[in-house]
Amino acid sequence: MELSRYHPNNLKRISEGMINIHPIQRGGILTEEAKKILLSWSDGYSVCDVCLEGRVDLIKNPPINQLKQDVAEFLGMDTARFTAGARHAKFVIMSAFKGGTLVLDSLAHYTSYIAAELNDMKIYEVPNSGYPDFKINPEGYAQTFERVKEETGSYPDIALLTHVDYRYGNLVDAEKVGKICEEYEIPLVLNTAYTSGLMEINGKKLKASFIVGSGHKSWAATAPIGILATNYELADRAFQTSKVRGEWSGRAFTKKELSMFGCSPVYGLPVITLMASFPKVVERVKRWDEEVEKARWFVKEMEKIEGLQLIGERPKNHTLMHFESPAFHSIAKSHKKKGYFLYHELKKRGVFGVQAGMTKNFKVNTYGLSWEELERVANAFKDIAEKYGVEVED
Amino acid sequence: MNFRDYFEIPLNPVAVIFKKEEMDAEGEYRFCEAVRIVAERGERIVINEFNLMCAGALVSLGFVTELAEEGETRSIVLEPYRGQECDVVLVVATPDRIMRISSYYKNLFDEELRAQFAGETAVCGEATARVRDTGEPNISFLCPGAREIGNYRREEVVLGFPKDVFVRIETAIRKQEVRALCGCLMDDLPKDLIERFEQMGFDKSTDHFFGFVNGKSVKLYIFKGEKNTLGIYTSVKFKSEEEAERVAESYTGEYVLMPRENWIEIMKVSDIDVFQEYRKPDFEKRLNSEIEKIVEEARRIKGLKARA
Repeated sequence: MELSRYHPNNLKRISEGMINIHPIQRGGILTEEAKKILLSWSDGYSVCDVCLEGRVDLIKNPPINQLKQDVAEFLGMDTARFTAGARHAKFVIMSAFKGGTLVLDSLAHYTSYIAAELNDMKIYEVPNSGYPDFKINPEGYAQTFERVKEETGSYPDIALLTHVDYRYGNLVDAEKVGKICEEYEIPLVLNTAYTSGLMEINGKKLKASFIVGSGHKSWAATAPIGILATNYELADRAFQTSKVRGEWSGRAFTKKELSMFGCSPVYGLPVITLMASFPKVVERVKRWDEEVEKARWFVKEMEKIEGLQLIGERPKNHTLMHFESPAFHSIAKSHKKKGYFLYHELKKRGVFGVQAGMTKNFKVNTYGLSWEELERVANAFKDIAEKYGVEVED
Repeated sequence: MNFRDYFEIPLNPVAVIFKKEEMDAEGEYRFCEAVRIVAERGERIVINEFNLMCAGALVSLGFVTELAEEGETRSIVLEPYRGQECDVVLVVATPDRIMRISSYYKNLFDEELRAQFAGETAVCGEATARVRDTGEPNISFLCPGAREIGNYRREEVVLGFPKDVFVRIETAIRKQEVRALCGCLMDDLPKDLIERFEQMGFDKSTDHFFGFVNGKSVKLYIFKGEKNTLGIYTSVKFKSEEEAERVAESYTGEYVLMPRENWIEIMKVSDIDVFQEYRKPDFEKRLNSEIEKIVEEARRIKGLKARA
């Protein structure tokens, strides 16, 4: 073993000092408040110093129990838990519907499928519209519910909507889907991994039974932390407590929630950073319109590069965007660095986050960039295009 | 990362070193049995003509000839492979691991891993002697001796590598030359269909294909359903959203025009049922004809802006 590789001098982050436009990073950038408390809460189970209740979400000092309720209120729900990520939150929900049928959008994150698979669920997909918008039509939920009824004899047990998908950054009309689900009396899981914490979400208004969020993607928290909010009607089902008893010792753990493995696995920094950032998060969602405005401006600037085109819905309603770039791809074919040229050229210009090797199409996220940073990023792309003889509009 | 860790193989790869001098040897072994012991326990075992208890192995490994005359080999050293000089490296693994190794091998050498086996003199002959003689790796499914006496598990097989090939693979692993392909499939399009489009100059994107035709970017998207029709798309950029909308409204041609802000996406659903027809010889010709027409129409639509 070469242990020197783990020396702090060798652990410099590759993106340090650069503008990081990686699609999964922008919403997880820590607030100054969160950065301030990093060291004091960095030891393993740091929040468990004064755990009297036996469950992390019930701890009063630091005020995790209160945070749980505040987060629920912020999302327009009744109660919440912190999980090991949005994927774990989905697993928790699916485990309450084990063996049932799930309808989900065809742009859902892979962890939605896997959470269902782990719980022996049968899945049906709501199709998307295909090229170039790849949109999910809310009506597709009703059609798919009927298809499930036709094929299985009963309506599905639960539906899942990815509020904004990770592939095209399309924002689906969750309220319409929620209304359809309400009419069919099918609980709706709204996966807000790219929305809650960035834009205002009100579960009651959207008629969601469960809201899943990602602290590290969208709530300015360190990974791993997810959020699972629900209403009291379904809380008992999702957060069942343990009933097991040791046959010899008689031991039992009646306060421990089964699908949280007893105690939500956020015993330190993740939950503390989420807490420290929370006031800023509550504030920042009100400025979402400006983020969308910046994203749309960025699209216009990027499309000044010949052949470069946004795919997914237009106009953009989210900061996660997917560009198709046949001109960069043509350059890659004859460049000695092949598809990696774009990544390297961007790095030279202080921009990080376009996946190395990707030139055909790539995703970026502009959330939280200042106008100046945004301009620097757009100029970096334009500069690279011009360097290789690709036309750029004035 | 080494070979064993990379492919997550429980047993050590075994280095086989042929010697022309006789070495002291202890115990009594079948060759296959000794290989299994070294692989499992990490011990070093020396074999010579006198402690090798299998006549088939004596012949196949060259200790004696088929006429019972003295052969070239006087001893064989078996050790866990740690990068030392050796002739052959043997890997005892289950078929799922062999599958991963063969996929890696194909990516690295652009050739298939072969299995030539008869179920006789397997570990000694098929996986060791043959590999040493031919310089090619080989998979053996073992023989009754190995299965019944050698303590191999029911699901185990043995893969023999020439040392230089094994070293090349370990180097590639260390340098991460062969990247694991993403395990997420974004569609269920047949591989040869994708290749067909690629031959025609279209690259696969996440959900569709795209390429340049007469300087225009053209996209192809398969609408899955009872008939797997093909959507052909190209786009024209205008100065403003209003201009794009005016052009789309005034258009009376055969294509579908979708204004998307300051762009118009021009689209046609072709009659071609892709899954039925992509293997037909005239597929490319028919498709190209459609594509050329849409590209031509795009240029005409671009010109409409003056009148709109």
